[in-house]
Amino acid sequence: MKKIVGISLFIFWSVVTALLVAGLLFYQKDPDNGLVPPPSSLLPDGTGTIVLNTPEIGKHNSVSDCWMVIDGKVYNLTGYLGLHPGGAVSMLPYCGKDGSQGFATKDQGKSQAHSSNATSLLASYYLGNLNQKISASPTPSASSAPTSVPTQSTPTGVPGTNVVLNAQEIAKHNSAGNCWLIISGKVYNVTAYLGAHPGGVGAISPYCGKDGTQAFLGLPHSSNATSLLASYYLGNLNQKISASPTPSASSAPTSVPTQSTPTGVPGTNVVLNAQEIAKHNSAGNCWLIISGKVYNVTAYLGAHPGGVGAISPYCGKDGTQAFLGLPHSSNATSLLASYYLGNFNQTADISQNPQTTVQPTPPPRRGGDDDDD
Amino acid sequence: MDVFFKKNTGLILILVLVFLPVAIWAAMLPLNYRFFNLSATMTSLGQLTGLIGMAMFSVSLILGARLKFLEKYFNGLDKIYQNHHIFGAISFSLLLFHPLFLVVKYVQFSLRDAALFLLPSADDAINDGIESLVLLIVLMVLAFFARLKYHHWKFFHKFTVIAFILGVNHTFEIVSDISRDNLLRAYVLGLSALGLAAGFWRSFWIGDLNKNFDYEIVKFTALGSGIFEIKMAPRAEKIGFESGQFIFVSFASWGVSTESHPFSIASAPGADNLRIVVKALGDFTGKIENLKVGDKVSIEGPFGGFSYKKALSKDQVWIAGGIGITPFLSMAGDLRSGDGYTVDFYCCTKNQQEAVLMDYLLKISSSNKSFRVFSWCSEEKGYVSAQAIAGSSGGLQNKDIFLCGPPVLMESLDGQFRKMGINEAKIHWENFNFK
Repeated sequence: MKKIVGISLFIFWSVVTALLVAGLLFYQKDPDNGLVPPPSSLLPDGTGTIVLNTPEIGKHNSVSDCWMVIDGKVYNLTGYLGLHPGGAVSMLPYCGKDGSQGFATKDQGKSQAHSSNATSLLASYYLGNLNQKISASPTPSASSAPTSVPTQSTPTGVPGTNVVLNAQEIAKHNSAGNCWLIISGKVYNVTAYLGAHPGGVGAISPYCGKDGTQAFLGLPHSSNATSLLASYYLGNLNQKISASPTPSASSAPTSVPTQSTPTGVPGTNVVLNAQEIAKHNSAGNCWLIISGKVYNVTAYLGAHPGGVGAISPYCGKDGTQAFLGLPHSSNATSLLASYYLGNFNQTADISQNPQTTVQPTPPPRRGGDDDDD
Repeated sequence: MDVFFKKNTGLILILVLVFLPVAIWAAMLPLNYRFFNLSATMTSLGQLTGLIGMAMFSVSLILGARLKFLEKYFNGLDKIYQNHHIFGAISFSLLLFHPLFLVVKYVQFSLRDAALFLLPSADDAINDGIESLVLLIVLMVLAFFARLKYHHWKFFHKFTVIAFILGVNHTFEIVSDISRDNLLRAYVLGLSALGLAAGFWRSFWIGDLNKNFDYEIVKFTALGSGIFEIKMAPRAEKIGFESGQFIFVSFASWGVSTESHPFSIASAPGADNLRIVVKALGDFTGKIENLKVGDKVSIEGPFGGFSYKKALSKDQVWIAGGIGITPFLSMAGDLRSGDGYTVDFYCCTKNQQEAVLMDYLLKISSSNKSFRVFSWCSEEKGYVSAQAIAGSSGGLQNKDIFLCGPPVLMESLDGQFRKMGINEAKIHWENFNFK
């Protein structure tokens, strides 16, 4: 026993000392230069230009489309949300805004800087400087709908053109913010799903733009996962598809990519009855009822501290008991408000993305000790 | 199989208590979600080490509380303390690995975030965990590696309960599966409450959990070689016990610490006075010569299941090393000519001078032909071996073997007997290393 305790103590102090020395002593703030021009994947493809001013940035204010100003520079952090060690929730309030303060203090009210690693990571999401003019396509995100996902609805860029789903084309969509991949000879656009992946964004992102068949089949995926995948189907490898704004609706054998459903056609009114809600019953498109109110929590799933799996069984159903039966903080309740669609059986205008109306107020908490995110 | 369950009831109980929460945890989510990739696997291992570590910590506190009713599941208090020691050590090691597994997902992003995770922050739940672990590390280094005097060790060991309280706070404040699952929450809360009650009671309560008996010293004799015989008479109720059991004794005497220490009872159950035989070995027993006739004594017990009457066979071999002779003195005094027991008693000492109790044993032997006494002095014949015992006793076939003495001697003999093909159910031993 003495030996076991001795060895454990030795390992413990070795690791702790190594981490503290490496993390604190050898930490040097990287000089804030060397920012490269924006990787094309972060911006919608095309030729139009936009100005990175406050109104423009303000449009990108959701989990599925998050731009942020940090120290006068604009970043598209959509693809990073799921990777953030502190959880997506702690970044959300700053989407579409200036996050310099939050970045510098981690919401702790005192200076608690991010690592040099975080700073250099940031560089890969750089779009341009504030008020700079950059080139962009006339995608919905740049021109009209404030919160739709550029990559999801227009994966191939210019509307109306045909693209061939060959290796070169797929390779263009190689980031967490714009992720196409091949599984068993079929091509999927899983950008909108990344944040909801139970295994984390990081498990998928290395395969963006590539063939992920081996990785997908090599790991235990439920039949649920396989059917979920169907909703992100673009076409078969080397097939020619029409790159219309809703490619999967026209070409895919299965349902519509879900992210675009909640936003819907502007000005559409739906009755939030059981039938309507039941349509939104997957992790990629999740409406649920809590205490007689209907919420679209699709974008939140990936950020749930209890994991996607804790919510997804209630998608399309009444989750009141599950929600109230478990210890949820008051913070959770207020977060919920930002996903509110309307009351049960009430007519609601779902063109208005709920996330734009109320800003979530996440807890100023360091990533939980054993949050399974 | 029956013997296995009977001998290991306590151990099985512990394992069920510790692994039940793991089963609840495993049932909460599909395991492929838990061990999906490196990050998820490390987080899951972090949760498991925390969960099992705290469950074992609770169990260890309950075992350390000297609870008499648990004796029947473990076959004696000495075995309970042994389990307390083992599970305490495993629990501590697991809790050390708990933050190491959890820090992995921070390391993947930034070493600085990882370093900050290990340091106190604005998060009280994590701070409680850090404080608990730091206190525990200090206490366990003292317990395992510092050569403390017994009463110093005992003083510091009490504070393990404080580390436990901080650990329990951390367990329930942190956002985790324990906060998400009501069943797991209720279970861990219940087990922690039991551990806390037991630990707090034993460490900080004035008075004892078990019944105490008031005695006073009526005879105090130095037998030579630093061995003393203490005879005590009851001042009120007399303690009932079986030969071979031990008691915790607390002396109210000048020059001797009042804290309680375990001693085997050397007198037979029928005797009027209670007798213990003490060798001046440690910090406490070194002061034993300061005792006087008339001093008051408080006795807690009896404990232990080391009894020749529990054996499978009435044909027995007893082996004592040094002061390990004491429980056998009681058992020898309990033997009656014609009760069916045939006992060969090997009394191992360094030299003849140390064999101060031989006369007493030889007197019993002379009146009971089925009780034979063999003296074995290691300075003359070397350490006693199983082979030598088997030879002089006329084979060990169907005999039960009783061992009490220094751990090295017991382990060595136990190993030799097993090698000779003797069933472990027939080997009985008393462990008197109580730390």
